[in-house]
Amino acid sequence: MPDLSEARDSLFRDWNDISFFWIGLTFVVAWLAVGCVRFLARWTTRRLPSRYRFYILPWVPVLRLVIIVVAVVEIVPQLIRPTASNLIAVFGAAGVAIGFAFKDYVSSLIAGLVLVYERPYRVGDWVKIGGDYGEVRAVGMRAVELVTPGDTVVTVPHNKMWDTAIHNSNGGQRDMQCVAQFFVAPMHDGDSVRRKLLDVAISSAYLHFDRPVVVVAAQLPWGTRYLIRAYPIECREQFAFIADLTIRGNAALLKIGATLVIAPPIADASES
Amino acid sequence: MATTHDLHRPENNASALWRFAPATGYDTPAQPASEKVKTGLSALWKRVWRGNSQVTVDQENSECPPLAAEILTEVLPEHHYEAAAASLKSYLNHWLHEANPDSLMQAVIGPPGSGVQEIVARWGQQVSARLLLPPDQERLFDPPSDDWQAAARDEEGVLVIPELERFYLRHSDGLDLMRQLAEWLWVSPRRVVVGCDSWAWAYLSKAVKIDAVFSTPIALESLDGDALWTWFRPRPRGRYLVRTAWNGEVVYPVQLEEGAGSANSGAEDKDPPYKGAHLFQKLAAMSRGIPDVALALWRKCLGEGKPEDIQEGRKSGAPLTPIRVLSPESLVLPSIPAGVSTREAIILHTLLLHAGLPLSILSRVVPPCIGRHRDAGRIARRRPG
Repeated sequence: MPDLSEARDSLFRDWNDISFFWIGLTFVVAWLAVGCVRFLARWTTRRLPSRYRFYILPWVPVLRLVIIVVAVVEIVPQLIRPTASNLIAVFGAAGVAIGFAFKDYVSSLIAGLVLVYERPYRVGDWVKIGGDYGEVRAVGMRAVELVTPGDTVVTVPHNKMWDTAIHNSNGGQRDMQCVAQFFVAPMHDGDSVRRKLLDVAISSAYLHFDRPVVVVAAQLPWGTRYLIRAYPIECREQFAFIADLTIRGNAALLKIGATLVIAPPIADASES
Repeated sequence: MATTHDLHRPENNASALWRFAPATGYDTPAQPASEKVKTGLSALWKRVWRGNSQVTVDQENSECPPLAAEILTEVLPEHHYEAAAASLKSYLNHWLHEANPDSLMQAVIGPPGSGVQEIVARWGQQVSARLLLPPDQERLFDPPSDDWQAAARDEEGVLVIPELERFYLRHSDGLDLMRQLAEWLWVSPRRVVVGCDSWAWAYLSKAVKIDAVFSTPIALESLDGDALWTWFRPRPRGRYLVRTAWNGEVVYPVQLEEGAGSANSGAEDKDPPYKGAHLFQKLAAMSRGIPDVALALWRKCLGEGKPEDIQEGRKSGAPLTPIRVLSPESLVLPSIPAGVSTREAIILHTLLLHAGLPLSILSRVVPPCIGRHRDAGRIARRRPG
């Protein structure tokens, strides 16, 4: 049976051979580099037109990963003798230990690595994870930060991606489809209502004109539901856009003589 | 785009400058690649490092005071509307007299500053066509059925609508009149020529499919550096000594550099290769070849000559009034600052779509939270230049 102290000696470098100064310096430099990348990305996006944030901010997690990998590659050989058997032994033992103690934490870290190339969400995206909806403000190694429309910051660990559907409204694009709905009493001139709602949409100051505008009608037992599906110029304008469509749409429908109705409580729950 | 070859035909200078062509082939003058990279990097640098700070005026600007108003009036060329209308007349001449043209509807579009409305109106007067002027903008929110169109419907001959962009508002009630007009044009037996701002045309093409009513629109071709040099030649010729402020290169008159003697000789009509080509290329690129924009830039570039220019002007025989041309790059031009809010962007976009709007209408066309903001008034009241 191999002597344990002998195995340890062949695995780790001699205490005197380890440059703790170099390890510390590497750690500090990597930490500063990650901070610099994040700061520069935010500083640059504040100065450039807002559309550029979709091109700049997604690079932050990628660059952070590169920096961390370089730091690990630099630090690990300082501590152990970098032979194949040593690396397997160290990472295997660390894997088992961490697997028991920090299962969820490590799961989130691994998910953080996976999302670098799968990209289910990026900074600037509007996502719904579980019951939380908001704009992705930051993507960390372990978790993603969302800012909800109510200006609340929600931190969602990345490991949610293993078992939770992630609804991404814009997928890295500047715009996203928004829906405004209108309920009209069944006896009305459908063509004029549809045309008027189209006019409401194409005359919105928030409309992204290069994207399609559609008005969809559906007959419900208690009325006709019209949906305007259109895209605002910026995801951030989605609430202003929907409010603009709703207020002007209702006013325009009343002006042409349509009767607006509200859904009965039971129907509202089942139909909307 | 007007080519150097065309410009060197003296008898054809005016018509070579102002030429119409299908708008689908419209192209803006390009900067040389090195200049483009330099300009792009410079703009990025200013944006990132200076943010919203006011750009400082170049040293050379402070050394060249602005020209006196009477000299400016004499030096600057006339607006191009009349000459461009004559060119439009020759372009449309065949269509106008053809028995069965492919389409009875012809649209002439152009970016802001191209003067397309003025050109079409003058062309209409030249061919004695009936002009249909836009209604009061307040009436666009609730247009009458067709009383103002009645006269136009009943008459015969060519109908000209020089300002199509004044027939709509981007409002849920502001498109009805344009739809009525489009439906009437669709079945009208008359020849109709409309002038329209290109921003409004793009909007109307999406909103009411106005482009389906007309054949391919035509546009005034953009001006390149050679064309600008020809257009900006001071009138009367030879009374001014125009030099660049940064290296003293003589731009006008060309004879002085060639040692041709008298500045008043007719030799200038031969349009020899000229100095300062780089300056005019830059002006063309900065103005995107749009005549009124280029003219405004040229006006800002002109400054009083230096004392040594006056001495030199006296030596050349006839006394020449010296003028210095500032580098277009040194001009402080209006620009959208970094970090501009959506509110300001919406106001500016709305003004572009309508080729300008009075504040009373603007506040009804943009959302109330924007239209009632003080920025709306501030931006809408700004005057060009």
